[in-house]
Amino acid sequence: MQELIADFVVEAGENLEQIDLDLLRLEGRPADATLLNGIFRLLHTLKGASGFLGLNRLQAVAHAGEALLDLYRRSGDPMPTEAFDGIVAAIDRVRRLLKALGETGAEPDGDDADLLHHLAALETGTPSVLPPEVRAPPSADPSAVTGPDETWGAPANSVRVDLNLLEAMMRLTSELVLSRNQLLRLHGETRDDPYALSLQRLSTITSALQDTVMQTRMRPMGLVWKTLPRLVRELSRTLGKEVAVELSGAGTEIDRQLLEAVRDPILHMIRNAVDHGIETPDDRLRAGKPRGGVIRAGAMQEGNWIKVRIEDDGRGLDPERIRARAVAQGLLTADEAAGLSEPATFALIMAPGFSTAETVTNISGRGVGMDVVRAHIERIGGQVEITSRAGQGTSFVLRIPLTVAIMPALRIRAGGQAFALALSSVAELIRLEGPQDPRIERVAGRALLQVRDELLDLAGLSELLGLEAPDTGRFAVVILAGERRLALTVDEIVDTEEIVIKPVSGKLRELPEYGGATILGDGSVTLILEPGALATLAGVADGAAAHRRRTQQPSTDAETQTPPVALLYLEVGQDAPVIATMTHVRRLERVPVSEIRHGPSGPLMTYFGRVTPIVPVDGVRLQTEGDQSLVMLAVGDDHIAVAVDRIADMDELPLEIVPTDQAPGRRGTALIRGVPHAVLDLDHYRQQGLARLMGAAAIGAAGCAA
Amino acid sequence: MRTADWLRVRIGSSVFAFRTDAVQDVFTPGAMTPVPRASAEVAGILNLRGRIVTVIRAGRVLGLPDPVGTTDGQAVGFAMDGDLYGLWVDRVEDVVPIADDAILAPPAVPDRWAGVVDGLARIGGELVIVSRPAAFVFPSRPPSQSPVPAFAPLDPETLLEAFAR
Repeated sequence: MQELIADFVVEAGENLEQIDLDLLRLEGRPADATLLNGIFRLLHTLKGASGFLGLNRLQAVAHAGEALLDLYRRSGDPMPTEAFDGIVAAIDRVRRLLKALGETGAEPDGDDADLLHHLAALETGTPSVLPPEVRAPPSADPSAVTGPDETWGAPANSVRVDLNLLEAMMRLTSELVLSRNQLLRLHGETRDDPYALSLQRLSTITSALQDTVMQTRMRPMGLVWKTLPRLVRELSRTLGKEVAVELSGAGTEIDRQLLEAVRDPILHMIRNAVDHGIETPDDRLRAGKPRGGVIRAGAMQEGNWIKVRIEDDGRGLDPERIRARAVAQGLLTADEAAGLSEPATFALIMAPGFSTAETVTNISGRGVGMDVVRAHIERIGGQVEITSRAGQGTSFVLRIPLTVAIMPALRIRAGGQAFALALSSVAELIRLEGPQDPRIERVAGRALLQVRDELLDLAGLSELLGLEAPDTGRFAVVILAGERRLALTVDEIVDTEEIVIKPVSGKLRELPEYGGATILGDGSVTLILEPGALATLAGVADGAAAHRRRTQQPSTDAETQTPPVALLYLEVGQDAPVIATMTHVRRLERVPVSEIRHGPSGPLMTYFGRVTPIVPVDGVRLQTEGDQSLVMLAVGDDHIAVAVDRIADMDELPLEIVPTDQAPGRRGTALIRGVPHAVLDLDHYRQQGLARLMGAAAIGAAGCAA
Repeated sequence: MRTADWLRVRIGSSVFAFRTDAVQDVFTPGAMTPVPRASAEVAGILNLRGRIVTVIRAGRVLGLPDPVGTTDGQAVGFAMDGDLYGLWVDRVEDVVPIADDAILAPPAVPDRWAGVVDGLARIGGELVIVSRPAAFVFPSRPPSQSPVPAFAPLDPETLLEAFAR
């Protein structure tokens, strides 16, 4: 019986949500028969089920509401406001009873005589006043919901699954993925043994299973959207404002855990928009705007991200006042504030300390709880961006990862310990020459790292975490935490790996620097670092890093803005595949080793009738039999042949080379599909070859002269 | 009279007893990943059959010095709020039955001990401290602070209904 009741509560709750939405629409279209029928049918179902379960109060309220609706359903007359308010009151009562039922498993004591009497009076046309303790019904506000009608119900061919079962399935699949990774690692490079094929199949099926299970966790954004019209309606009425809501992208799906995580931040932002964004009708008219404001909430998928936009057409943010406020609160110096870009200024409203100020609502800011909103969004690996135009409105864009359970991570080592960072929060990797690297500057006790034309805050991970072993400062990882960026020095960059995030225990949850932990393929446990908390720990102020930027290009867009370039994938020595750009590359050749001669200054061959020096890449030994792979570089009409072990592939991709590697012959590192690749400096070998060509020419000239 | 089974463990020179139904398993703590900036009693986290376990050093909770052999000892595995913990003790002794009425009220003990001493029982000639492994997780029970501040309560009047799902 209790199970039946629990199922009933869930199902009735869903029906109520649909009724809420229909009621809001009905308010604007009081004679819409389809809406009326829909509400009637849902109430009827509710009545039947509650009668079956012996829930007498629910049954009586549903029945009275149904009877009242039936009157207008039959007559086709538009519903008068009193009747509408009566239905709303009935629904509110149903909601309260259901809530109690869900909590205690039984209907609460008491009766609904007041409400039932009122509804009966409405039905018979007897004058009746709504009992005062029944919630005040909404005034007619037909603009409250616009936008296309969308249903948010589940499709008919679906089953209800216990959430715990779903979670268990997810967990087991994650374990399977880890075991698969472990097996693949154990199997290693042996390619021709009898396990290879089976392992390949296992691997493919595991990936497919993982995708499928992730699919089962996806929920539509509409689940959040449908609560918004009512929230806005109640808030705007309390505040004496007129606000309409426009919703889009209700069908955009997102992992249910993430949906839960973004629900409260979104509701807060909506609340802020009504409270601080939208002006009062009088103010709006004075500003030459329509009386009523509009809040638009939309969601769309962009690759592996969900973009949620919350927009209002209110008064907008005033950068000058935000700067002044930040200076007054000691978040920035006046000089810093003066140089602050607009995006960085807007980001200040999400700074801890800024938003908690009582007076914030007076300065046309809208900081209430924005620091908390940001903390929640960053916690799930998301970002918040703010744009605003004075007098025209404000727009918040949340970028939220599509799924959270499995993600690519960068493994690093610092202070003798391994850690992992979500690859999505890694902007770039930089090789340093230790603590004395000339790009490191120290100003007023702070370390800064020059990266191209910016200065970034620099902190040693080992030092931040209080590890005993000091940093060797061999690498810097630039991490992103929303607007903030921080260069972290680490000892080693290990590799990238797909990891399954597991939450840390309650005991460790008091440490914000860890977003979770993971079990790696070798069975060891690694902590996952939380970029936002590290930035806070390092004292990176909001906007402070951003204002040092001399270019205003967000680094995350760098990849999409870089034009694609032609690339070669090469195997050289023991290294993982390296890449090289095609600059000066004229041809790719495989020549029989018999054509290679060994001259006094190194190997040579004759190529198109000319003596051509062969320069092996460091770590490459020339083949002694078969063919030699060569990359032919142009020097005027001459060539330089650069010898490699294998030419693996060619591709065309946007490439951002990070000058991490100061070793000769290397240009740095580039992230290709999330994997760092060393970039070979072919020009270095071209210069070597050129020197030999010149040397040969000089010797030749000297020989002639002699 | 009800009698329950209790697991006796040695921590320093004291013997503690945990109800066996509060204990999931006993394991030897292997390679652990230390957790920088965690409180001193957190020895680290480890992988126990595919699940991540937070290991708490019982001795440190009580303010005792670590045993000389730092990898000695055994851990008592238990669950709390859905998370797995291991309480790292010097030795797991045995399982003994203790009758409910044989458990005496706790004596006055130093602060560090107050949270973990639920009572006393005499087994054979030995005095045993009756305790719960979960009591070692938050020994001083600091005010529970979420790393991410909770949302400030909204005006209930206007929002209560809107937030109802």
